[in-house]
Amino acid sequence: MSGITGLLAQSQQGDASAWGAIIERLYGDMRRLAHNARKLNINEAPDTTALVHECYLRMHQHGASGIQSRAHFFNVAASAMRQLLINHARDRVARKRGGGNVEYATLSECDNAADQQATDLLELDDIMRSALAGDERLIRVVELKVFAGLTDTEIAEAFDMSVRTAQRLWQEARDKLRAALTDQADTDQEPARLRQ
Amino acid sequence: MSKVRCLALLEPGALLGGALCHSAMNTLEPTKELAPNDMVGVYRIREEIGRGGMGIVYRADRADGEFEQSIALKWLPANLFDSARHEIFRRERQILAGLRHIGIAQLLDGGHSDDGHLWFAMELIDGLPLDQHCAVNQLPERERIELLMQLVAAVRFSHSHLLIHSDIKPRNVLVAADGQAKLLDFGVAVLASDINKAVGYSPGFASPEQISGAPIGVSSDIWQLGRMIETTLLAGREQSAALPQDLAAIVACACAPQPEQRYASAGELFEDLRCYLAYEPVRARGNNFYYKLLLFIRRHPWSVSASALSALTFILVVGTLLWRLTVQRAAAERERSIAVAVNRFLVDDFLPATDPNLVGSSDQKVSELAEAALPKIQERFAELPRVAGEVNLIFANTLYGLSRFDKAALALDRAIPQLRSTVGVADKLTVDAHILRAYTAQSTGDPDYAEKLLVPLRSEIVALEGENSPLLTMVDARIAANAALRNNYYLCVDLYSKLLPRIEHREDDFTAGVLGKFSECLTTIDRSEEALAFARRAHEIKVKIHGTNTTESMRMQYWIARPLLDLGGEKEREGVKILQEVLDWSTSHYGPESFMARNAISLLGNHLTCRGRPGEAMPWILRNKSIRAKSLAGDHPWMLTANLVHGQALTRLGKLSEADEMYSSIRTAIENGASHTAVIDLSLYRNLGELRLAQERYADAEAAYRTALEHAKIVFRENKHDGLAVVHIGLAIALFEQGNVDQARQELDLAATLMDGERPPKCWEALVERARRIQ
Repeated sequence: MSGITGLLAQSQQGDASAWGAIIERLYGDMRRLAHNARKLNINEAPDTTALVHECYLRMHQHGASGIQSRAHFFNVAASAMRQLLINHARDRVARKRGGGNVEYATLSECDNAADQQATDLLELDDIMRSALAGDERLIRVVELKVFAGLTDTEIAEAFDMSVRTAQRLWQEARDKLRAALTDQADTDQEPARLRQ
Repeated sequence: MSKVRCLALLEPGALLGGALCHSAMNTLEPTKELAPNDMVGVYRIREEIGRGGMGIVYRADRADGEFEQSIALKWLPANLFDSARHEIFRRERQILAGLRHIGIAQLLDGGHSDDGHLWFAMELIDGLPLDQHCAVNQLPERERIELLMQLVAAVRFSHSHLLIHSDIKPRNVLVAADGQAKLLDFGVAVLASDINKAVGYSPGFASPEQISGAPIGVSSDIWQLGRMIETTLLAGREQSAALPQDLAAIVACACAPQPEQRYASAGELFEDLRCYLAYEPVRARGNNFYYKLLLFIRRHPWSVSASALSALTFILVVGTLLWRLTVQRAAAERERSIAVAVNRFLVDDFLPATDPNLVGSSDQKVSELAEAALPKIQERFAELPRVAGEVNLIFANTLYGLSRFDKAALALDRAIPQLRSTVGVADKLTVDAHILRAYTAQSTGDPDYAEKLLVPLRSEIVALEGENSPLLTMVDARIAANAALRNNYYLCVDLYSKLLPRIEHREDDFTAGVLGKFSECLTTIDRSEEALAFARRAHEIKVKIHGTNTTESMRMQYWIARPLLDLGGEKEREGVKILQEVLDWSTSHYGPESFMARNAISLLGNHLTCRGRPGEAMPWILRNKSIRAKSLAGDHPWMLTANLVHGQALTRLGKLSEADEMYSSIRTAIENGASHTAVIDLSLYRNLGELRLAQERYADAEAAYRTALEHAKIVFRENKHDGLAVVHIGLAIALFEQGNVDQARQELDLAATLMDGERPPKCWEALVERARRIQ
């Protein structure tokens, strides 16, 4: 294993085969992670942590030389998950724009919800890139929290910091995102206000 | 809006538990497509004939030279990597393979490719979807309803096999060339329903619970059938066309927003469609007097025209209608009727030929099916705890009959709280569930559990309904029977004697059962004449109800034979003859492995051994063991019991080393964790003592009897009992032979005070005879 971090870096630079290699490595565990998540009720937070742990242990046992520590693995898995979901959201949005009549096809009602989430996620991702730019720690915290489903305690562990610091970083990231979204929403509403 | 939604994605679990993540994971499993001439199993792909969210359908030919056959091959995304789901799939497919109905496209074959793609080979139907078929041929209403009834019958059949289609829509119902409507995509839908609840359904054909993501059950299929009826009846008509009032009512009832407002079963829906065609009142319209009058007149025009509405006719018509109204089921009984319907299909369709008298390898499948169905009961009747309770009880009954005691206990532990919370404690169903649970505990070697269950239940019923509750007779009968199962036959006789005056006047199955069991307890404590009288009375009742040469009457013959054997002489010969008859009858009706045949064989083996005819007993003992071995594990308590008798017969035949080996094997089984009762422990060491005496190993005999005594204390506690006396007698002989004459005499004196009656303990006459020499 040439190092999953390297593959991740390659794929971030647009190397599709690197992405494939990552997925191949994380595939089974990510599927289970997602399968577990989707079984949950909407009001319940998914217990993905256990799976992520297990996933790490498995990779570790297989001599995954690229993974240096559990914390490192959390970071890798969260990044991979983020990228996977963003890629998928892009595909969905593009396909939807492409249109197509699917009368009588067995379509999931979930499709509508997924399309909606795709649009929202892409927007959130844009905001993340601009609002959190330059602060790698904030980006990591959001990834671990949102894309890997880790708790504050586990994030603290992953970063080797106190739980309070982890909570503070998460709060800071969220405030920045909220502020950025509010700015954007205000700009969106400008034309309407002018018309009044 | 979008800001709020974006921020919501930051909430814990919002993204990972959401639809996008779900869909992303699904796309990780792309469906590999097949090309013409690709081989799947023995099938050669010809062309694609359709695709949907669930996979691609190809026309394919069987290409193994066996015979020519075109099939529809459904190729699914690869998503069955883990073995647990693979197992679900395998079992489902097995059930589906047995799902043969003229209205269901037959599943022919199935498997998975090396890369994990699942495939099904289905009967290929060349025809149009139901709605298009009706539109293209401009079928009249009646013919459309007949086609729809074929569809409803197919769905009813599948429900009777606990399978929910969950994707009934026009494209999944094709009309074959012979005019038969065929329901497709069964395997896929069933597979889907178990693996992934949120999987596809079709716009406009999704039930409210499917849309909300709630668990789906029979009622979801009913909803889809309602939509099918509407779509099919209106297909090809002008936009403004409306359904007749009755049909509109049927559709409305099937498509009611709340599952409990819909038809309880596909059978009810079928019945309403039939009524509509027969101009009978449809249930969906409710109890409307004028509506029924109108239909009555339409159905019997003669009653109106011939007598020109004479007063007499009018009274007849109205009278009939009033009578009909009174027999209509009240709304409050709705759930009960569901339970009845569900139970009927379970008993009639799902568990055919599962007579509890039948135990054998051929029933393995049924018990597997029943076991596999258990989790489904919880899921599919989640909204109907009472129905779930009843269904669990039925399955428990079947599983109990098939000796799957752990699973039966599991089902009952579910049924009991379900029934308690719905029909209450003081209900026959709840009481039945407790009683069967008590039996199950007995069969798994936990006799105390039964008592812990039944005694508090009795108090609860007394608190609720008083001492005169008819339910108490059931519980009391079971407590008495339980005493017998705990080998406390005096208590058993006591309890039955108290119960008997309450039911003596009755001539029903229950009473006959009580008399039979009472007779068993009386036989065991040597009151054989009384036992015989009660058994004959029980037989008489059974014959009155069921006739001669029936399962029920034969069962009573068995109880008659038991005291006859003990009465000796001519009566004993009559008893053996009756047992032989019972054996022949049950063998020819249920096979040699049936419950009753087994009992008769085992009784003959026991009896002959005890009567000092071990040589004659041996063939029966061996037969009994070989039958039990077919359905029971080697270390099952009943196997241990059979081996104990075998050891005793060997001892009495003088084959001492063989007997020794037999007992060793029992001891090894117990040491290795075989479930066993104190009675088995006691019998083992008591029998071992007998063997050691025969081997003239008196010190060892003493040790064996002393161990037996420890176990006897658990079995008999402080009570006097022949069984306890026998151990003391054996010990006395062992001591005497070692020269401990005084101690031996003490033991004998003690034994004399413990004996139940004047006669020597049954089966141990020879031992008693030997002890006499000490005095």
